[in-house]
Amino acid sequence: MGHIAEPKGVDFVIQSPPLTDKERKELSEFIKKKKAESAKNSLPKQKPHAKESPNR
Amino acid sequence: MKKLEQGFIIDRLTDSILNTISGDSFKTEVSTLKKSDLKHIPEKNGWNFNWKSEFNDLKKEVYKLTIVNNPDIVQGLLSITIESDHIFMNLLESAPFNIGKQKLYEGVAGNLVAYACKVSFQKGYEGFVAFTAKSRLIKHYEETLGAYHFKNKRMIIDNKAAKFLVTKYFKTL
Repeated sequence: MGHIAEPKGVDFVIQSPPLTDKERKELSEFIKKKKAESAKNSLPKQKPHAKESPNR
Repeated sequence: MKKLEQGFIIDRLTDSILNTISGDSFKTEVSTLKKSDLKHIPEKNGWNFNWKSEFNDLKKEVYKLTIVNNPDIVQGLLSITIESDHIFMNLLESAPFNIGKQKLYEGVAGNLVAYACKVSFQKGYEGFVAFTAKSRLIKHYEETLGAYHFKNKRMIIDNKAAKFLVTKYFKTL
């Protein structure tokens, strides 16, 4: 199984001050944007429509 | 693994940490912290944060990482808040014996971050996880966790990075 090791002399410690309402809003906007980008990239590419024959 | 998630131990996931002396890998599990665990993690034993206060805060969820079949020795702790569209990591700390040059096990923190991503997927947040980093660790988190430096010291793990982490640790989303 894989794992991510800390580099020598570095310890991962997280201590996050609580989010402010402004930060919360900014984060939500960022997440929305990222989701939209991701959805756009996952759409199958449409093939160009073949031209209809003028004789039909 | 799939069976475990759908079975009765819904809050447990198995993975591993590495013993720095022997190089052996030990299977681990993440489970919710219980009141009875608090006596094993007092600040006087070298823990940096007040986990009792974290445990008592109803807005937060606290998880412990332990080695399978050794549930009393806490290897690391994680406190998260479920926000409206992401998981916010309040605190993350490895046990005192897993810190510094003489650390006993490696990979504790990465394991817990991956767990936060897993919870984010379970909540329908597509893996998004936010946290605050120390200035000197921002670059490192970008490189190892694929986290994005959002603003000030706030960082965010997006869907792509979260997928990578969860797959690396738990094999399934």
